[in-house]
Amino acid sequence: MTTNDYDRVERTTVWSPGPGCHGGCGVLAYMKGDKIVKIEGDPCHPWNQGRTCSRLLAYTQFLNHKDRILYPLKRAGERGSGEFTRITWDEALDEIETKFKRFRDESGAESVIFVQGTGRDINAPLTFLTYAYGSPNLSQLGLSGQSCYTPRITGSCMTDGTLTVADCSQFFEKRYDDPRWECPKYIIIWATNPTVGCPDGFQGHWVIDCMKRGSKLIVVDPRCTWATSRAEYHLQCRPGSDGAVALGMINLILENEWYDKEFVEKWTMGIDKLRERAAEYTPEQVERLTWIPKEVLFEATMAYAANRPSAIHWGMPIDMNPEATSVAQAISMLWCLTGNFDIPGGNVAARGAFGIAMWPINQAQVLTEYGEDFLTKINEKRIGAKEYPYVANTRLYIQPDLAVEQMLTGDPYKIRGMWIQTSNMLGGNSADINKHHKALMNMEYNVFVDLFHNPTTMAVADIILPAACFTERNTIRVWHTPAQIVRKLHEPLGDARNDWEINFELARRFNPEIARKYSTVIDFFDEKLRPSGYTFQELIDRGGWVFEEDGVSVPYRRYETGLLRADGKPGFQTPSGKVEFYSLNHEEWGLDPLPWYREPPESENSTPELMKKYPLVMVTGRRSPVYFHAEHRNIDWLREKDPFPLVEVNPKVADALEIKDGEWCWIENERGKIMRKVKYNISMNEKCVSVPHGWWAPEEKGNAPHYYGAWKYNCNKLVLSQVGSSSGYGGGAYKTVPVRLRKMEPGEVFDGPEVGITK
Amino acid sequence: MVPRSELRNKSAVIGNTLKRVRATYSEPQLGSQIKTQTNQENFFVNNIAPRYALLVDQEYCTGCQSCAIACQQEHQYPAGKSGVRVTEHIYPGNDDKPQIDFEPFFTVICDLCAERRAKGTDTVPACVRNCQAKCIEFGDAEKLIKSAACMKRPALYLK
Repeated sequence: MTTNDYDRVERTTVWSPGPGCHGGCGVLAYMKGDKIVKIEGDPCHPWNQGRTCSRLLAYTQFLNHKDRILYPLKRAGERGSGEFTRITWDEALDEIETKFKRFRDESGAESVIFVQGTGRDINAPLTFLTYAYGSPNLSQLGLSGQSCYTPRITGSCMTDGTLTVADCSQFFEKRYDDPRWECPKYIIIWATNPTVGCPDGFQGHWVIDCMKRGSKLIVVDPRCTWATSRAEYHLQCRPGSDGAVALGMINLILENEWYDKEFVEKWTMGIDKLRERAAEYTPEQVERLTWIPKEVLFEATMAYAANRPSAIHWGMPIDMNPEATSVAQAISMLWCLTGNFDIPGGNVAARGAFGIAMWPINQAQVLTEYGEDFLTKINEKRIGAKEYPYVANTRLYIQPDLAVEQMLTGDPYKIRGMWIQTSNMLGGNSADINKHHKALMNMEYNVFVDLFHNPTTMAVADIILPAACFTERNTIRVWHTPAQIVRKLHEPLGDARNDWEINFELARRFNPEIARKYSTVIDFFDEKLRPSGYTFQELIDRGGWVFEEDGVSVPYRRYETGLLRADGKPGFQTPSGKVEFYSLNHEEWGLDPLPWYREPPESENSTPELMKKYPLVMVTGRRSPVYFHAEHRNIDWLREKDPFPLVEVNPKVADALEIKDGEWCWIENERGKIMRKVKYNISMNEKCVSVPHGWWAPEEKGNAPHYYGAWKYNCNKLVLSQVGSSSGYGGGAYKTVPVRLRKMEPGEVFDGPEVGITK
Repeated sequence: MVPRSELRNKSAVIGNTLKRVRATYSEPQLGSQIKTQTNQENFFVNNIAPRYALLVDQEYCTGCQSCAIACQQEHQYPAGKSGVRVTEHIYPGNDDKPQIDFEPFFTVICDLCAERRAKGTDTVPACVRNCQAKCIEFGDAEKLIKSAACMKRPALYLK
C-alpha cells in the first residue's frame, strides 16, 4: 500500500496528542478504511494555508507507535519498579472515584492538586474536572512561577486590560488579502524563535508571510537565530535583562518625544509618573545591565517608534524574568505609547471568536460561570492566594513553588493526591527535579493521563489512563479565532479515550449536577458554541471552522466602540478605564504601580562570587523544530533530525576547557550535574551556553534508578526552584542558570548522587 | 469527505501566497521550439529548460524539516532515508555577524513524487506542498528561472 492509495480525504483541525502543540492548523487526513495513510496541511485553512510542521507529518508514527499506552494501567510493584498491570476503565475510574472522594471527605477538595502541562487541549477539560471535584488547586505544577504566558497575560492586562498579539492578519478569514489589514512595518520578535516553535496560538511562519510583504525585524534575543540573521537590529541582551531593555526603550521614547501624543492624551493615564521612573534607565545604565550597545538600542527603538504600524511578538523567556509581570507590564506600554494598540498591523486585542471562552480563564469568568460563593471558596484555600496578589486577583492557577513546598511539609494543609494530565514534570518542566520527585513521592495517590510512559509515570504513577490522539477525538478550539472543531476520524486504538471524555465522566461522578446538565460532551460543546450560531455537528458540516464577521473578536480600535470592556463603554478593562502607565491595581495590591527591573537571583550582579565558580549562564529551552517540549524523542522520523541532548557553546569557550565538538561533557553547578553532547556554535555569546530542555531518552531503561536518563540529561535539575516574583507569577529562573562545563575524562560515567532515589 | 473539486475552488479565495502555490504546472514539452533572443539563452533553454526543477529561496528556509519528513511520509521511507535533507549553516556573514541559514538538499533518490502527481493526489511534490516557509517551488525549469529572478537568494535544482 502506498500513501497515494486512499479512499477519501477527511478534513479536521489539529490540536494536542500527536504534534502536541498549541494547535490550530487545518489538516487533510488521507484515509483508507479506518486507517490514516498520510496526513498533511489543509491548503484551504486560513490558519496554516497548507503549511505543515514536522510533528504533524510524522503523526502516523506517533499514532501507531508500539509503545503507546492503550489500556488503563495500575502500578503493580513499588513506585519506580516500572511494573504495571492492565485494568479495565471501570476498575480505573471506580478506584479514582473512591480515592478522590475519600480525600475530599477527610481532608477537603483542596487536598488534591490538578496538574496540566502547556497549552494543549487541556485547560478546558482540566478546569472542568477540577471545579467539578471542587478543588481550588489548578496548576502547571513544576513550572516555577507558572512562567509560561500567565505572567505576560496578567502583567500586560494591568496596562491595557487585555491580552494582545502581533497582528499577522490572523483574525480575518481572507488573511493577508483582507483590505482591513495592514502589514507591520517592523516586527519586534522578543525572546522567541517563532519559526521553530508555534507558541501561544501563534503560527510561527506568519512572521515569514509578513517579511515577504515587507516587514522588517528587530529581534531581542541573547542567542543568534535564523531570525537574528535577517533582522535589521539584533538586541543581543543578557539573559534575564528584558525588563531593563523595555524600560530603556520606554525612556528613549519618552525623552525623544517619539510617542503618539494624540493616543496618549486621549486614552491613557500616568505618563508623568512613568517618565520619572523610566528616566532611571538611561542608555548607559541599560547598556551595563543588558550588554546591548546604547547606539543599537537607540536606533532600534527609533525604528519601532517612528514606523507605525509595528508589532511586538513575544515569547516565554519574558515570563522567566524575575518580576516577569512587571516586564510584561513594561513591554505592553511600548505598543500603547507608540499608538500601536489594536490598529492594523500593530498589537491587537486577542479575543475568542464570538466571545466564546471554553473555560473560565480569570476570576471574573469564574464569578459568571460558577457564582460568588464558589469563587470565595476557592480563593480561601488556593495555594498562594493569601501571599501573592496576582494569584489572588488575576488567573486561577496556584503558586507552584509554594505548592511543591506544601507537598513536602503539609503546611498549611496536607496535599494527598495528584491528577496529572498532559504533563511529564520530571522529564520536562520541573525546576529542581529532585525536589519535585520527593514531593510527588510524598503523595498518597498519583493519577496520570498520558500516551507514553515517561520519567514521571515511571517514578511516581499509581494509575495511568490512556489518552487518545487528535484524530481519535472530538473537541472544539477557540484560541483565538476562528471557532473550529477537531473531530474523530476513526476509533481510538486499544482503549484510549479522549481527555474530554475521561474528565467528563469523572466530573459527572464527582458532581451529580453536571450529570443532570449534560448527557454527553457534545452537549457541552454545543452550549459553548451557541454564540456562533452553530452546533458541533453543523460546524463539521460547514467545513470545520467559522470566523466572526463583526463582533468582539474582530479588530480594530475596539476601545472606541466599547468592545473591550465588560460594561460596553469605550475604553479599556482597567480600574481607570484608560491605559494605565501607573497601575491602580498594583497600587491597591501593594505592588509597585510602575514597571521596574529586578536582577536575576543568580547573576553577575546579584551573586558575583557564585559566578566566579560557575562563570557561564546556561540558557535552557531553545526550541527544536522536531520536538514539542519533552515529547517525540521516540518518533524515528523526528529523532533522526535532532538525535542528541546538546549543549551549544562557542568554540573559544570550549577550546579553553579542552572540550571538543561532538564530545560528551558535564554541565554542573551546586544543584548537581548533567551530561550533554557538545555542539560548537560560533554564533554563541561567549558568556552563555544554550541547552535545549525536555531531554530524556525513551530508549534507555525506564525503571528506577534510570528513569529513561532524565537525571542524566534534564537540564532543569540545575535550575533553582523558588518564588521569583513579588506578584506570585513569573520568575522561574530557567534562563539564568550559572554553570560550568567540565571535560568528561575517559572512563568517567554518570554516577551522580541523585541516581538511585527511589524513596 | 471533501471532494477534490471543492478543495481547489476554496483554495482560490484564501490568501495570495496560496494561489501561487496551488497553480497547476503544465508538463514540459521535450524538444518543442522555444523562442529565444540570444545564442547563449538559446543554448540554455534548449538544453536545460525542458526539465523539471525545484526552486528554493534560501533566504526563507527556516530549517523546519517539514520537507524532509513530508518526503519520508509520502514514500514511507525509514528514518535515515529521504529525498531531501535539511542542512544548517552557521558562519560569519556580512560584517562578520553570525549568519544562520538552512538549505534543503535534494538527494539522488528524489523522484519528484512521481506517484503522487501521477495518481492525482496533488500537482506538486510533498515537500513543496508542506514547506512551512513556502520557499520551494516546483515546475518546469524555464518558468522557474523567471520566478527565480524575483527571489532574494534563489537556488535552482534541475532534475
